Amino acid sequence: MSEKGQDEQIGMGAKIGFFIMAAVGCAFYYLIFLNWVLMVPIQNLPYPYK
Amino acid sequence: MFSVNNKKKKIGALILLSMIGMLLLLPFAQMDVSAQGKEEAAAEESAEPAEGEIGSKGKDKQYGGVNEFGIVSGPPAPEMVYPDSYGSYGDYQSRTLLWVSNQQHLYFGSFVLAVPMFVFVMELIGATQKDRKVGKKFDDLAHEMMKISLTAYSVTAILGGILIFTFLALYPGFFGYLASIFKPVMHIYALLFILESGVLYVYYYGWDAMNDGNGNWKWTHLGISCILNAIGIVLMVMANTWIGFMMSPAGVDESGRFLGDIWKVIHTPLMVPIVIHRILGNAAFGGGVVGAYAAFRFLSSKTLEEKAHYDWMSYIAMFMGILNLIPLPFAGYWLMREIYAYRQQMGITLMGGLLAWVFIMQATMIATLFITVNYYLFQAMGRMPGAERYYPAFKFLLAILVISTISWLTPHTLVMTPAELKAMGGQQHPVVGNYGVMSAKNTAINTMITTTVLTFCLYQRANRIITVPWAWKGNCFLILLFAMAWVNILFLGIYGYFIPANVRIGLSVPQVVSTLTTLFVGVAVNTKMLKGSKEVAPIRWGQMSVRGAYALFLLAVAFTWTMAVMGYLRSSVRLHWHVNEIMRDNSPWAFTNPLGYAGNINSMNVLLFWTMLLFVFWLSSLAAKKAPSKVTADAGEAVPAASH
Amino acid sequence: MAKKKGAGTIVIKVALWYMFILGAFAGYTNWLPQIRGDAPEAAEAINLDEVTPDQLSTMGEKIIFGSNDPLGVLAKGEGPIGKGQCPLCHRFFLEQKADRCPNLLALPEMEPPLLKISEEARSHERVKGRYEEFKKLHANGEKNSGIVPHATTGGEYLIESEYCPNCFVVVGFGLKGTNDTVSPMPIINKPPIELADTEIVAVVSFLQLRDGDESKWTAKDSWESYFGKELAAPAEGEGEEEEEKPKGPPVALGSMTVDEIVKEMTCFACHKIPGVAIAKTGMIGPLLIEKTNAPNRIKSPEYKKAVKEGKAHATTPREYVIESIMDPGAFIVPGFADDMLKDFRHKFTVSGLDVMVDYLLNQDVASAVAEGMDRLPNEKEGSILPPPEASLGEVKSGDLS
Repeated sequence: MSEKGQDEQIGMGAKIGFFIMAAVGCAFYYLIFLNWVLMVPIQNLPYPYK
Repeated sequence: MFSVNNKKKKIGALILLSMIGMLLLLPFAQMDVSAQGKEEAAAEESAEPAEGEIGSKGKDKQYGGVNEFGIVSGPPAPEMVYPDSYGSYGDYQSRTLLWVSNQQHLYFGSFVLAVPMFVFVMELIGATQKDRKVGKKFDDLAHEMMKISLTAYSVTAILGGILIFTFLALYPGFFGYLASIFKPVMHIYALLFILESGVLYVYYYGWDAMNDGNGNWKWTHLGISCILNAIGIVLMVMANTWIGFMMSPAGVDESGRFLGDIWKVIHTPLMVPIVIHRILGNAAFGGGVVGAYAAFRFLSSKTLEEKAHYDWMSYIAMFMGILNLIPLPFAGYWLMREIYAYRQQMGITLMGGLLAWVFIMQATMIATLFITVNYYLFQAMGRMPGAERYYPAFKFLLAILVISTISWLTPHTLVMTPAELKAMGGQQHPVVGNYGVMSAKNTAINTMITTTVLTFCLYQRANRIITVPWAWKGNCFLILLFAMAWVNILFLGIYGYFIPANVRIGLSVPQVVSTLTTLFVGVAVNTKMLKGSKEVAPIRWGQMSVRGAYALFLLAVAFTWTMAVMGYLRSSVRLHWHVNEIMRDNSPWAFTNPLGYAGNINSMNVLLFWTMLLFVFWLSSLAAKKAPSKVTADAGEAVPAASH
Repeated sequence: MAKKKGAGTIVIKVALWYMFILGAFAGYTNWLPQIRGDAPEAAEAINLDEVTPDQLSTMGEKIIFGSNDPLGVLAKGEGPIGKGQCPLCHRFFLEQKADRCPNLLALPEMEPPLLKISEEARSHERVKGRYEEFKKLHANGEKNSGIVPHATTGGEYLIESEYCPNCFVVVGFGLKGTNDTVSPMPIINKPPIELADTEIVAVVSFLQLRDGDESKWTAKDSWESYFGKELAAPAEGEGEEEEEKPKGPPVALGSMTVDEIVKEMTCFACHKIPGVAIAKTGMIGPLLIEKTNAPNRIKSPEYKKAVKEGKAHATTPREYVIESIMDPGAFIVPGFADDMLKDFRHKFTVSGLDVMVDYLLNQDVASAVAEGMDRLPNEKEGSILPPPEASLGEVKSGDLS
């Protein structure tokens, strides 16, 4: 079965649905999960131009 | 896996292994005894000696808390006086002579340390292969590398001798002091060196005798390889303790008196990151050197079999090199953070002061390395039928790499004439200047590594047709994984401009984790997708373009040169100190040489090293002529690119 | 190795390729700016009596920036960094980037408003308020320098922060995780920077004169009032030896003289002790004439009360003196507060204590009178100096003359 043949069996809606879910998942992982370690130093920001 | 075909052999193998293991422990047992002896001696002294005298209480230069005090056990660091404490050969910079002998010893030392690591992995892959034909191929590869390492080993020892003589002739005062500090472990170093030689010879000359495919003797042989590597790493760590002590002395008081605990002297603040950094660097360097060797043989082979073998070998070596190159920048960040934590002004001297331009040079080198790797992979896809599908992507990947390189290379400030300065309105360009700060540089390197990972994923797929039913999901996920990683890296890079430096440093963490995610998750998903995939056609090993081989040379030289320039940097950051804050350099060569001079010496050093190495290669090829090991197995069919 | 057309040509090709790469790398390094880092020069010899504030300031500028035209150096694209290495972390000019340590800008017209005060002006604020916390924190001497924070003026603060960066840490600039109590700054008079005393005075002079007002210059006087001694020129090499003394927390050893112990234990800060040169001004603790005091104290009703309560245990003058040092809370001399440091039991060796106790037990009214010392007004035992007109000794000597 070729790659193309696989593709044809899946509806467009399912594809878009998966794409959105994956996008949200990745965005959550990178932008929120990874970056939360930044929150601590950012909350304690000293006035930098002292 | 263990077929008990001969019980006696198995027992013999175990006995041999445990004996070697015991020998390995011997020096440590001795260290323990000597430490105990010292404690007893200290306990006997009940009288209260005056401050600073041997036996009195001394405050450690570095340690605080429970470890703050120690018993003064040695004289203070002698004050260096020129010319009494120094030797010289005419007016020539003593330091440069020492520099060259140090660098050559280090190159060969790294090589003989790295090759056994490399060989161990190759032999292990060989022994675990189910397909004996492939297993034999890996085994032969490992054996061939070991042969080269053996010649290099004696060169290393000779260079070590030259190094010690150079020290004694040119820096007797300094060498004497360090020797007095490290006295408790110096003989262990020597003993380990002898042990290393013994194990090395058993390992090499026992290769064929112990080669029973993947039987018990083979595993014993692998065990010996393990021991060999363990000794090698301990040796390297011990050599590193000297430079660690010179950069961030501990275990001594303010005037350099030894405080009786050798572990504190060894375990200086910068010790662990330096060791990790160096092990990774060595492994990458080893891959580079083996790759260059294979590329050389690839170019000069006359038969297609030989070409195929060396093409394959160069790919494996390059792969090993890159595998270790990728974590290297992170180890570098860690080391840098530790330096900042140890002495802030030392960190800034490196990154923003006297030595800042060296980092521009380093950036050039790293960029060269990554672009070369990508270039090699592009070239290597030429031998993979079906890779044509991915050719259009190359130009975009290359564009990303070039943009990253340029932004990484952008200097913070520019050298200008006053007229130019006025025209630009400051020494920082209003637009370009923004790319000159660390935030932009971190972003650039992370983008480059991510791109390299992507290129590698494409390489893995080059001659394959994916058949798993979830292929569309996988592709979709991979695209998002890489795209989002880039978005996050870029976002953090830009965000870095809006927060102060001490917080900005923290941004590198999520950036790096983003990159590592693409590396581990991306490659894992990609590999999973390739399971059960169909081949368009087998890899045509030996049909890589000649340009690919030259890219490997560039890779190897860039590795060596980067090591040299970073060595210059690490050594220069002590400025006018032999031992930072304890022993001042009072010779006429206490100044820090400008970068151009260092560049010239480095190029000369690298040239010298590669000339000697070519000689070593040539020597081993002489031996090969006598007993030509026929390369018969055709790797092309049997070794998939994605299997390692 | 392959023959025919192979090996030879390939070796040459590869060698040429290597040469090209190495040449390119070396060439590139030579094209980049060339900066030679020279080892710092020895401290300049100066005549302290004749030197003007301006000269000192110029000298300080050179120490900080390695040049007397730092802006010019900046314009060339290099960092103006002298042997003091200050600009690595501190920002002196708007054109310069350095935000790891408090800025030292001095431009009155600057924005935002916080920048309007120069370091000179700010230094006066630093010794107020939060400074008290550091005084408490380092009451026994800061760990690395041995200094107890005691700056009272802006000038003294500037001097102090060079010798003891931990004696006051600006909010937001401490080492991570130390709650701004430990400074990342190295001690400037110690390696690796190792400035001489006069050089530090020069640096402070530069800071004080940055906004051009010479009336604000106090560097030399501040140094002298801070250390309680005269600033000496570096050539004598005296300063260095003294610098090496404070290693670890102070300890009183049997091998030390009484003067040394008094200095090391900082007794002089509170007590007057006859015969000890530096202990003539203490106004917080009783006058230490224990040959006279100790026997009287043991007999006093207040002491007997303390014994009854189980706090005090001395029966001989010697025990009393030892007790007072080792356990100051056992008995408080009437009229005083219980504010003597409690950690001397950890600082005196047995033999060191003997030396000190022996000495104190030999001091009596006569030795105090000989130096014109008197008890404090709040000491109940009263003044030991007879009123001048009634003093027999005075009259007698007057008669004789």
